[in-house]
Amino acid sequence: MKYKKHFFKSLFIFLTIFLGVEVAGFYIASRNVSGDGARSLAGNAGDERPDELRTRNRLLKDSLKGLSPKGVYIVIDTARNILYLRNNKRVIREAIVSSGSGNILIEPNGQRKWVFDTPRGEYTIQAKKHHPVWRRPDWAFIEEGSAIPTKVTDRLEEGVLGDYAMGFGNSYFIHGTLYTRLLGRNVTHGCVRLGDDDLKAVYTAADIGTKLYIY
Amino acid sequence: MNCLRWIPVLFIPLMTADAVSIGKDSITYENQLLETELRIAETPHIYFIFDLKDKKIHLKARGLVFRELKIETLRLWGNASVAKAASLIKKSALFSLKRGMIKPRSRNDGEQFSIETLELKDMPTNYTLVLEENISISVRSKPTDMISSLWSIQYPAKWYLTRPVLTAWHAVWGKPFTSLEIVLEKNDARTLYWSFLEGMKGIVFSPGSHP
Repeated sequence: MKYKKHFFKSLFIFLTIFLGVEVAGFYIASRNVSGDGARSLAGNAGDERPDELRTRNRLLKDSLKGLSPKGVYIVIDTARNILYLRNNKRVIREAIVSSGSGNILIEPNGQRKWVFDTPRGEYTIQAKKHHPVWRRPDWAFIEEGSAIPTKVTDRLEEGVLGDYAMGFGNSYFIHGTLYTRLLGRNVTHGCVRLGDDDLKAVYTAADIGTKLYIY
Repeated sequence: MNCLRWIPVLFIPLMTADAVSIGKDSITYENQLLETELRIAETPHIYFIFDLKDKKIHLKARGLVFRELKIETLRLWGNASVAKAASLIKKSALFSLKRGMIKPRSRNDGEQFSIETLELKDMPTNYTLVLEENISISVRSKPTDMISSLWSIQYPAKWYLTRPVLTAWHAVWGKPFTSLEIVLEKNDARTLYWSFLEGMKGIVFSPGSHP
């Protein structure tokens, strides 16, 4: 009986404190919404006239528009594995791609680690190659369990990148593939693979300096 | 008595002044938003905009919208009216994503070619995005079956019980607290998780909540 009384007393105290905190929380939240915003806006609004502000907004909108890429550019959606070739805001070609697998490779001695993600952000086409030859990086040898060659010529492999390749920095390329059945899936080591026809179209439309957006 | 009729006229300048002030506030707010977005758009990064007024999430770069996600339902706690840029600090889900580890093959082991990758379908649909400025965004997917519908009943209760406590807790430390709960289509919730990288910048704004 004594324990029961203690329990109810503790419960009552806990609920009272909890309710107090809840009320305080609600009060603070409502005060923040109606108070802080008003003050911060009123402070800034006092400096300029509405027409001056409108003019400034127009200029800001123009500046924002001015940042958008002009002419042809490439957009790659790695979540859906879709490439969009755009001319200004118009999509002129849509293609299925394969992008990075997100897998990790660690060198057996633990010294180096590779994460096979396709990088995100804004890039530029830096190189265009017809009949590209793949210079296999170290990870390609480690992955297949073979020794890393010392001679550059032992790294070269023809025909695996398709007919065209476009480099966008840090050894990442948009290139062709032998595994067309895997288009639409995230299976690459970070490069972006395209089917033959789409690759040719993108290669033809894009010049060195063409902007590339990957998200 | 006749002069009493003119009393409402006296209020006209006051009412006009108030309307001008509200109009000015909304232009100032737009101005702040544009300035903030311009600063972010000048960098070569993808950024996000949570437009709580139109219930949309935009993935953008250089001012261009690349992807638009529709917010099905939305709950906002606190003040999201200040147009400031905020970076994504972390994403947290109940089950963290496991990246596949590639086992270097031996040349003679004749292992079969297998694909283990991290794809959109592997992304969680219920998770929390923690942003700077003490902004926390709980993302949930729309219930698709009876079990998930029943399970979703607890969310409003949890929301109204925990938000005030968290607000009070942050107030003790002199920090603001803003919380959002958004419900998206299952695939959109996964896309959001996929597209949001830690360190990514963006703006969460709700013009409706500004005075």
